[in-house]
Amino acid sequence: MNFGNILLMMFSAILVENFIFAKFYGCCPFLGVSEKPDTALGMGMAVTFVMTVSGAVTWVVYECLLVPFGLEYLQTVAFILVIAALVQFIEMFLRKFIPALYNALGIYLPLITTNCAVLSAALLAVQKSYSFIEAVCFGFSAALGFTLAITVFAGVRSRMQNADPPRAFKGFPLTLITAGLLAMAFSCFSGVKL
Amino acid sequence: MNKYIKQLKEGILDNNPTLVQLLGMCPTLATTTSLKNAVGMGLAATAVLICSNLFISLLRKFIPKQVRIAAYIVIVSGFVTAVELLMRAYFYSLYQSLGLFIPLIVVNCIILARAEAFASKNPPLPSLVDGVGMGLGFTFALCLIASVRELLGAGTLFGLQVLPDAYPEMTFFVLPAGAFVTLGFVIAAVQKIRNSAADRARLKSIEEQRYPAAPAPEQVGETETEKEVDLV
Amino acid sequence: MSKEKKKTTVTKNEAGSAKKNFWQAAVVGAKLLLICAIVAGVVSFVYALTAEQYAINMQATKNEAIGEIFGLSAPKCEALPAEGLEIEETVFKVYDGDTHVGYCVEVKSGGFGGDITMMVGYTADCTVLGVEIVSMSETPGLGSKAGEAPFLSQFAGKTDTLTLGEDVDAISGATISSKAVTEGVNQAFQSLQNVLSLNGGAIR
Repeated sequence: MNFGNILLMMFSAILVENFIFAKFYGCCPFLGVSEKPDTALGMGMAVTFVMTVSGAVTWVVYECLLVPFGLEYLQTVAFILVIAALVQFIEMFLRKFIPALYNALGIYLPLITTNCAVLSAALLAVQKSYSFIEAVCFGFSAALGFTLAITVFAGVRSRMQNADPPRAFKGFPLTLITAGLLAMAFSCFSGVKL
Repeated sequence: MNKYIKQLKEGILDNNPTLVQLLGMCPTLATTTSLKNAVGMGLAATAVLICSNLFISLLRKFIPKQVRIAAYIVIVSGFVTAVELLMRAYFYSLYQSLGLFIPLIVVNCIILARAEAFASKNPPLPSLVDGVGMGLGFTFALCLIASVRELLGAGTLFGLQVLPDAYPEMTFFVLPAGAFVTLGFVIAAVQKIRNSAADRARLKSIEEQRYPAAPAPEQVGETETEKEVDLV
Repeated sequence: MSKEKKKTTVTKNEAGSAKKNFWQAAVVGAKLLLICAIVAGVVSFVYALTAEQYAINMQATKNEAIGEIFGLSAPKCEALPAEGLEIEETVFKVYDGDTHVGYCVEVKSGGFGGDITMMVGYTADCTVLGVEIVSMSETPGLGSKAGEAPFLSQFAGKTDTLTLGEDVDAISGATISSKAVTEGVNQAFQSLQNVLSLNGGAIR
C-alpha cells in the first residue's frame, strides 16, 4: 500500500466509515461524555492517544506473539489485556512526566479501557490484515473520526441545554434523536467515491 | 424463591439495563437492524453475563482489589471468546452476520457494570439470577428496538414478510441514523411510563401526608421538582 | 489460595513497608497471572473442541456456493497452484464427477460492513457463470441486497473487466456494497487469468 492509499484509508476512516455514525463503535462515551465541548475534546484527545499507541502495540502482539504460536483465537483476550495495561501505563507515565497533559486527560483515561472503539480498531486492523504503518494510521484516523463526532455533537448539545422539550424526551431520548440527525448528515459521506 | 423472581423482574423490567440504566449502547444500536441479529446478540451476551457473574462471584474473595477491573476483563474476555468459538462452530450464519460485535461483548458496559456492582459483592446464586435477569432484559430491549426497525424499515420480522407488499420500505430505519432515532423514541416511551408511574406514587404519598381525608388538588404532582434518571 | 493469603498477612506484620509492598505486588501479580493462565487454558480447550466443526462449516458454505453456481449437488474442486503469483484469491478447477465444468475463484472485497467473501464461477472458456456470496456483513435490507439474485444475476455471461454503472447497475442507496461486489468480480477475473496462464491453461 502506497502513501496515497494510506491517505484514502484515513479519509475513509474519518468520514465515510466514521466509527460513531456509521459503525457504532464507541457510542457509550459518545453519549455519556458529550455534554460540554471542552470535556468532549479532552475525551477525544485521550482516545486518539490511546488508539494510536494501541494500534501499534496490538499489531506487534498479534504478529509477533499470537501468529507464530498459532494462537490467533486468543486475540480478543490478548488485545483487551494489552489495552487495559496500556491505559494504566499511559496514566502512570503522564502523571509522572507530563503532569499538564495528565491534568487535562487524566479523568478520561480509565474510561477508555471499556471504549469499544479501541478494541474494535485493533480487531479490524487484524481482520483487514493491515501492515504496521497502516494499523497505526488506521487507529489514529479512526480516533480522529471519533473526536470529530464527539466534539461536533457536544457543540450541538451545549446549545440544547436551554431547550424545553416534552418531559418524556428530556435528557437521553433527545440526545439520541440529535445524534440521529447528525448521523444523517454524516451518511452523506457514504456516497463519496474513493 | 420469591426473592429470585423479584430479582428477575427487576432485571427485565424495572431496572432494565438498556432502557432504564442506559448501558451497552453500542450493541443496542448496531445489532438491531434485524430481529434475528438482536436475538442472537442478546442471547450471546446473556450467556457471557451469566457465566461471568457466576465466576466473578465465586472468585470475589480471591481477586485482589487493586487489579479487579483487569481481572474481570480477562475473565469476561475468556467467556466471550468461548462463546464466539462455539457460535462459529454451531451457529455459523449468525456468527457471520453479527461479525465484530461478538468480540466486542467484552467491552459491553452491562457486563462490567454487573460484575462491579453486583457479582463482586454477592454470593454465587443471586449473582447467577442477576445475570439471567439482566441478560434477558438486554435481550428484551434489543428485540423491542429491532422489531420496530425491521418492521418499519423492511416490512419484515425474522426475515418473513409481515406488512403487505405495497408497504414502502422506509430504509431510514435500518440506516445508522434510524438506529439513534428509534432508540430515542423507545426510551422516551419508557420515560413517559416511568414518569407517570412516579407521579402517581408521589401524588398518593402527598395525599396521604397532607390531606388524610380530603381529595388531593390536581396540580400537586407537577410542582414537585423532577428527578431525571441519567446513569450514563 | 488461602495459603497465599496467610503468607501475605504474616509478612505484613513482620517485615518493613518496602518488603511488604513487594510481597503484596507479587501476590497480586501472581493471582492475575493465574487467572489469565486459567482463562487461556479454558479458551484453548474450547478452541480445540470446536476447530474441526468450524472448518467443516467453512468448507460446507463454500461448497454450497459453488454447487449453487454450477447447479451441482456435490461439486468436486481442485485448487490450482499459484506459486510465485502475489494474489490472495484461490482458484479452483470444478468437476462434475470427472468432467471439467469450469473454474471458481474465491475472492474477498471490502464492503461497507467489512469484507465480503464471494465465489465467482466461470465456464471453461472464462465467461462468468454466476456469483455467490459466502459471507458478508452489510446492512440488512440495504447493502445486503448486493448479495441477492437480482443484483448478482447481472454478472452472468460477462467476460471482461466490469464498470459499475455501465456493465452492472448499482443498487440505489447501496453504492459501496455494489461497488465492492463488482470489484471483487473484476479481481477474480484478473486472478483467474493469471493463474491459468501460469498453469498453461486457456487465456482469452
